[in-house]
Amino acid sequence: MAIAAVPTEVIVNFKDRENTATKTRFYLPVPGVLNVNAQAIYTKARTMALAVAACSDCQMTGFAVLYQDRDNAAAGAGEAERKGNFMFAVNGGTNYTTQVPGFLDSLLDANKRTIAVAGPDVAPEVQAFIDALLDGPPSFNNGATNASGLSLVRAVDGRKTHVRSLVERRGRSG
Amino acid sequence: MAITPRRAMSTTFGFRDQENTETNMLAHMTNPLFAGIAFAGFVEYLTFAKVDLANVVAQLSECDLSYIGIRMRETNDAQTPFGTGEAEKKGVLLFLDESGAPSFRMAIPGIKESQLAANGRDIDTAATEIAALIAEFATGTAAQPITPNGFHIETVQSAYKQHRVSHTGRARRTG
Repeated sequence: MAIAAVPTEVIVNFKDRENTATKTRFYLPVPGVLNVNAQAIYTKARTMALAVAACSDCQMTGFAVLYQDRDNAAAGAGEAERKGNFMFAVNGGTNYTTQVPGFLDSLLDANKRTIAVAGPDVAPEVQAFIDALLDGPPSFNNGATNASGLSLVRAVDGRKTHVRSLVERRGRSG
Repeated sequence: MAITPRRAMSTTFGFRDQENTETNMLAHMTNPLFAGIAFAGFVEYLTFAKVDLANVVAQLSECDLSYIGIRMRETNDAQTPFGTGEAEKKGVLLFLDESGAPSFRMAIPGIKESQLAANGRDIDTAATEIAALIAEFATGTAAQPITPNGFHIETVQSAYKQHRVSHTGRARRTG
């Protein structure tokens, strides 16, 4: 896998007096080997976001720092439409679902429709994914959440679905 | 200005399939800055998401992993997050890169009148706030701003006000 870091993108969001939302962006260097410069970059992003806000009559509503890695030479394989759906129970919230595109056939149950997420039939790759997501970085044991920041507790369901791509959805009209 | 870290950071994994279809998978994790974890831990979070989590996700898919994006946000959750300006009034800064090419353009929404030159059209690059912003583009050893293609930003070529119509302004009435 030849995936490599690309410049860090910083997006600064504003709202004006009519509640029109708008944004501007700038770029900072890659965070370096093992992300050693991530702190310096984040601090700089914050400083610059405030410097931009000082030039504007609009209200800065926030900023986002996007650390990115990309492999533009990836050849591509499999079918993106074949999704592996994983549903997790959330501590104090509704269930959280994430989808793995091009899910491997070999990791499905014998019925080729469901994915074992608990018990003796769980594939090692699936177990490794669930553990990594729930546990997070080893030093913190403080891992996955839903979008609102509520912790995921355990995997409760796994199944395959076929989600059609935009190309497939397009109807012929001629 | 009360901007605070969001509770969750998002990690996007991009995949490319045999027909070059690009698709994404999204996972959220605790934002270490919200959780009060020091920056050393912050670095560990990033490395975990980019390496460990990416590897286990890639093992589940027959598609090729082509993108990893980790987004950390801070927001102002005050009840009245609106300004006095107009988003359409942009303050445009056009920067030259190290080769002398104009390769980065920043458009600041709702540029303050106080940052404009006497003619009302150009930006006064000596005005306090603009000068401070331009100075930020020239500092930061490991974090000095660059162009989207990774070139160093050298100088401001031009700075001016521009009025760009918003999406709302473009809309036509049909009734």
